[in-house]
Amino acid sequence: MNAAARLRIGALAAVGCGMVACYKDGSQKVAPAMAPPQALRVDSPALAPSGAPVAPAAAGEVREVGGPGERGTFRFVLRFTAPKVNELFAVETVVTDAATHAPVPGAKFSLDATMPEHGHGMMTQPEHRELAPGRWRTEGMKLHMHGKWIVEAKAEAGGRTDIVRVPWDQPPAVAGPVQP
Amino acid sequence: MGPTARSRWTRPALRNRGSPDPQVLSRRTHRRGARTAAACGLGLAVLASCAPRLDPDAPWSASEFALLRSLSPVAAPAPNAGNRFADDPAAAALGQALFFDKGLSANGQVACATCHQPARRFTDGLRHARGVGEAPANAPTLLGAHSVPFLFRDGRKDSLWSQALGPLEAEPEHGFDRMAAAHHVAARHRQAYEATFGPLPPLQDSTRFPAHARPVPLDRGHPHDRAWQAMAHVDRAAVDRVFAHIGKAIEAYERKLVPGPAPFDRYVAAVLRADPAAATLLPTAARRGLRHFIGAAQCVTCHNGPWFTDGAFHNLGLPRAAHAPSGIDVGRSLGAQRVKEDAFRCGGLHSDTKDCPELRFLNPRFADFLGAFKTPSLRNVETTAPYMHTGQFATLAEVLAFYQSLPGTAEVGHRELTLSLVAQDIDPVEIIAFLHTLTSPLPDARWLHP
Repeated sequence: MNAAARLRIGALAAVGCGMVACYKDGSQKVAPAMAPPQALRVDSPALAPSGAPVAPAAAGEVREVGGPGERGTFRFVLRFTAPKVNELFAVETVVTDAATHAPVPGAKFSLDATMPEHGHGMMTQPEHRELAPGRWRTEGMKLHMHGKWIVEAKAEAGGRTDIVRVPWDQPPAVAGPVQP
Repeated sequence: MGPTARSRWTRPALRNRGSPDPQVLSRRTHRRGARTAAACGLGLAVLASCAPRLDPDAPWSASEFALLRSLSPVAAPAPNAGNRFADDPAAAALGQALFFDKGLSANGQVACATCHQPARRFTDGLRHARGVGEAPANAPTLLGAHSVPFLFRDGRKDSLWSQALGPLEAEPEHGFDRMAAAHHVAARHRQAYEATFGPLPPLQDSTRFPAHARPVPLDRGHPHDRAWQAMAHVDRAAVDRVFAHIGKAIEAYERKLVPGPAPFDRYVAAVLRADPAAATLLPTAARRGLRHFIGAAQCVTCHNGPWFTDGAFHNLGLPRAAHAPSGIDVGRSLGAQRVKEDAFRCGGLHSDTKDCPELRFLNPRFADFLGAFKTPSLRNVETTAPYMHTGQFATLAEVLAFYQSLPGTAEVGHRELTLSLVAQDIDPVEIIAFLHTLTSPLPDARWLHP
């Protein structure tokens, strides 16, 4: 990952889980004062050892989540517009080598979402298309219930496999901003 | 819940499905409250939460507020690209005529409106729909049917227009066939049909178009199937096209069936504008019931959105109805396969769109589809008894008793882990009082008769 991307993700992660707690790779040293506008946020169990769930997002908000995989082999960054419950949505995932930050082309890639507390996944079978080396577009995602989901991205390439699991708290469908 | 508890819900007062009597509900609520308090005070309810009674007018939390916003109001049907006549007034007028037309049945006695009676919020009050014969399932309301991506209890259809064709050829329902339906339209609705959909095929040519014909995949020896197979491919396609147009006209009509605001909608609107009079718009028991519904009882997990349904499929582990037809209904696991292959599916020959993401991404092998059935809308549920897909429960009290006991195991598949017991210290009478506030005025009267 280049310095600019590290800075961006570091600053954004600070929104959800605090600068120091969010990183394993040393990027916590990035000064919050250097943060760009917080249009995107990164929250991931890999980035957030505390396991704090991703903060709920209003439907339509662009989110960027993910981080290093559980084996430290690949790095996954998932970008999508926060979906409404029970509506199809798409995700773009960038898979890079965790050590070299180079894109991982031609991987066997999958993206799924499950509700561990409920013992089920999605009722859809998403389709994945590699738009550019290491950059995947997944269509057909649908979170049919509000509540705690785990979004899982998995890649297999060059005999190496890695997976990242991102908690996602799906809010109920709301017509507009929540203002009691 | 044991037999003693279950017997509570068989009391005559609770079997009355009429509008809630606030005084009766209030008395019952107080009795229930007293019982709960006594149990907690005596230390009898070891595992019960013994939570203090809900304040029906406590400030809504941000998450509760979000849930309220998600449940109201009901919107007009979204555009349906699969039916370019969906919002065509002339198609709706023809669809209305067809909906009430008993000529579209084998015995001339069954119309769509036979089982979807307007005065009963488009249901029939029976456990199993009764057409030419007895159907294997309860007739669901049509109100809100447009709001879900898949139709029928097992989701074997993916549009209202395609759904409408199923009962016409189902032997226990209309018992009709598409060839006869086309002849009937030519005889009784030709002008309206051709004004909207263009010329009918030369149906008077009996050498090409027999009196009765339809595909019967499970009985290739059926006279209707033999007649169908004997027809030229181009003629079969022409009849299929007329049949699809019948469905599209009926959909155009059904999209007009938008009910007025329910008391719950007026309450939510008042809450949203911070109207201090909001509390006066629903009975106390109903306001408590609403808090149970979106709170501890977790009803809103599946009954969500403006139509109180997630449009999804769940295995509740329902008891087998004593009057159930023989054989096991595997529900969505078969329906998901059927809809992918249906001749009148989205993206098919007679669909007006090729953009069908719901069908494209549907996973027919989703494991929990086995024994799963579609979540029904709860709007107007007070008026649509009996309940569940084969009418297992006669009253809402029986339904709530089921959710507070979850007896037995699933007949096929397994009961969904999502489904947790509704706690005993939640008064089902309050939830039922809330459900009564979802009863809307009927749609505009001009749509309620031929």
